[in-house]
Amino acid sequence: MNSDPIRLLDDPTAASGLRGDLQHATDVQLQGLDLTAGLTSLQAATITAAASSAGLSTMAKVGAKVGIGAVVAVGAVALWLGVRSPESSPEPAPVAVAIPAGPGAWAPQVPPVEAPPPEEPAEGAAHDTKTFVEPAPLAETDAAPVPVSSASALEGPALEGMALEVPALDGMEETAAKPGGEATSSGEPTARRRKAKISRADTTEPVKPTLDDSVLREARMVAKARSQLSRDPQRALALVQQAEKEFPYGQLVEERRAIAIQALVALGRKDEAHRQADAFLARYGRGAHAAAVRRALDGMK
Amino acid sequence: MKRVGSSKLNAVTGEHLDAEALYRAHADFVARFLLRLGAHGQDVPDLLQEVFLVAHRRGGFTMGRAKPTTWLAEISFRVFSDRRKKSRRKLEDADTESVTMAPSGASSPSERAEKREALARVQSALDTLTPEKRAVFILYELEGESCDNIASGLGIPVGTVYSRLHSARRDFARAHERLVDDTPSANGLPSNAVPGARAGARA
Repeated sequence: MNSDPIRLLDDPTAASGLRGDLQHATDVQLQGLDLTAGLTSLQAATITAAASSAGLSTMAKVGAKVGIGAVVAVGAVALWLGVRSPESSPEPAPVAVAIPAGPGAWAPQVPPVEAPPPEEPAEGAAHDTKTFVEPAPLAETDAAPVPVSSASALEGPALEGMALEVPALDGMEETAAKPGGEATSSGEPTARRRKAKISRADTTEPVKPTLDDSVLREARMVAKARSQLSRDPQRALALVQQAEKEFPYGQLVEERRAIAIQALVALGRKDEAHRQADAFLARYGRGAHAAAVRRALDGMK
Repeated sequence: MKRVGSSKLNAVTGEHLDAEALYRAHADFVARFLLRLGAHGQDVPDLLQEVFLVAHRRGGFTMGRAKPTTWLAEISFRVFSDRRKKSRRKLEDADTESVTMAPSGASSPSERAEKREALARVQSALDTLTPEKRAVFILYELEGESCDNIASGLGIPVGTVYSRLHSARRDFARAHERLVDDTPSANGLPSNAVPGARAGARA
């Protein structure tokens, strides 16, 4: 730091015009940037990314966390299940056995998995996996069929079950290379090793997967609606209605419904505004947008 | 511009900041940096998202290695360069909010106009630099980062920072001088009318 040169701004030998312009350039403010909307979509995207990566690398993470012994156990138990699957089994599914075997770090992230009913062991295994890979309801986006592919990895007999070891070892390498790092995969969910490798290679690249794109498209649409709210509420309303259609399970439902209500208020459509506001406040009464909705309603009186 | 939560983090060494905390504290820094690198105002919201998603994928930031700002600057630089290479610039959409930098502080219309011209001149001069030099110049001269922080944030030797900065200052001063000479009066200076403006296509 001490050997840093004098900044041009403070350098008396620099041209005064140059210093003046630099001074103005440091004293700026941003316009047109909605940081709140950006934060909302970031939160949605990170949650979604976590949900999707859970589908892809659930077993990988488990393998990495519980160590080689547990990986072997997963494979062995999966094999055991595969062998036993044709007949009824009262035992828990392999995933249910392997996960609690891991260290405590995993416990909070793993919802309790119940043993499948004895009548349908193979089906039960698939259902349990589905339960496990859904860390949040948000996993149910229009582009996140996470549980299906993970469950499908467990469908079928022994050989399919053994394949579970492959992503687990991949995940171990990844975690070893990046201690403390987040799971990085967020491509389309699949249990195939090739896909897992591709998404690992993407670690330092900008995010481009379909999943995030849909979040971004939704965020853009909602941001556009918000920017139109004061200028053209009709257009704002049309945009949020379009978002409602395109992203019925989107990440910004609360925000776009708040915008819809404010647009209805601005358009003087009081009855609709009240009706939607009642439903909105009943559901999101403590949310970040409730105050704006209440203010809009108050302004209408 | 809306503020999101507390913008100041009294982070200490070893403290971990996740993507959300980084966003709350440094989103405006990243947006400014992207604009100064040459990002189009309409692309900034998307680029901003990408930067913080990459920060999320990298597991957030732990205080100590560098400063979060220069660490985010490195990600921003990569994201911006990647976007440029892929030429993903979409056609301008009239509905899309464009992010801009404006002089802060209330002042008379003439003073504001003057400040805007100054901003346009600085941006035009920045655009004449190579992206690597531009990044270092922005961080050092406009954001007030130290060379050490820039080096650790961008992952380059501090000697490289010095040499890029030295060269960037020389190029910037020359370009700025030309721009001043080309401005006959205090009249409006449309940045796209300036020779070399937006020529940062060397990316």
